[in-house]
Amino acid sequence: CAGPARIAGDGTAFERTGRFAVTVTDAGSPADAVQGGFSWRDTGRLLQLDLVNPLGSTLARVSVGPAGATLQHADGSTEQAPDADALVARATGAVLPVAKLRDWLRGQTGSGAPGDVERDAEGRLQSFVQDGWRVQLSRYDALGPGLLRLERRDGTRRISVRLAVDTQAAR
Amino acid sequence: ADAGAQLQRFVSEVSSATGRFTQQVATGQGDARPQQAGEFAFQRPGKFRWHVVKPYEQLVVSNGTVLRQYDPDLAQLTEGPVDQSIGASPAAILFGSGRLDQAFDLTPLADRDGLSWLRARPKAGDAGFAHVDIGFADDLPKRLELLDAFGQTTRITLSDIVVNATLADDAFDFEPPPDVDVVTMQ
Repeated sequence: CAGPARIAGDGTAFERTGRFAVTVTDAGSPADAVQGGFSWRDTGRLLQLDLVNPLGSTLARVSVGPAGATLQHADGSTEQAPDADALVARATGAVLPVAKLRDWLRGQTGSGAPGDVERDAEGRLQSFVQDGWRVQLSRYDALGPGLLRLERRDGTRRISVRLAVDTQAAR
Repeated sequence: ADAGAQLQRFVSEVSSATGRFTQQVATGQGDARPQQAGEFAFQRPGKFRWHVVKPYEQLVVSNGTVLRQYDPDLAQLTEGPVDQSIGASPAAILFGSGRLDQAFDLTPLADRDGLSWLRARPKAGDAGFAHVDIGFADDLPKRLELLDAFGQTTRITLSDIVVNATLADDAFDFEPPPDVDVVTMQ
């Protein structure tokens, strides 16, 4: 499809759809996993993240703006929070670093200096550590990485997040 | 024949089937997500397989007790008990065998596109979708249009349907390749 769609008045929107899988494993307790689809639309000012089930219907919608984040459930109830990460975790049990993904999905690191930075042959970010996450980006298309693998350890708890993006080639 | 009668005959006379599907989500803002295409199979009660093949691969399969979801790009297989939420999902309409009027309010709609339609509205509030319209021909569902709670419509077409095909015993089980994370949910 064409480049990012332009939303009236909001400037160019960064749009992506794809699938995510989050697994949380902790010593001695059963693994907890969430798998689903996502639709991501970020105008820079406003971010709308839809969490979608395999049949394509939206389970929850997270809207992030300058004033904070709002989560809308399928049954219409809503919740607010200062940041989206806490909301998504509450909605789906999935630990998703939504704020940082606004940069990582574009193949950038944004604010906060990353460590252990490795780049691929074309100078694109391939792996780095930031905000406690080890991030691996690959399968780039013109808009950014098509596969994102994030890993985090908090004590005995290990969180693995994987995002497979419907890249231009896949459309 | 009206859709309600066709649905009843489909549930009572078709105990298993295979076929192909396309699936596309039209968001409220007019742009549509990439169309998906794949193969499906089901065997009543409760066994079904929904295998997206294009533009990427994703498999959702239930053997009636364990629901498995496999995504090779993500290298992850999630398996867990088939819970009640399946009961009120579109899968239940097509693949379940329980009395549909228990889980759904069924109302006939006008014919269109050469199909006779009915609307199934889940009685439970937390089904995650507002309603699903089903278009029938020859006592078989040919199109589903599912409206979710955010005004987005998923259009599913079913084709090449073979009814009462004998299916392999393991048609609804799944063994992942070696390097896949298998996560079992309680």
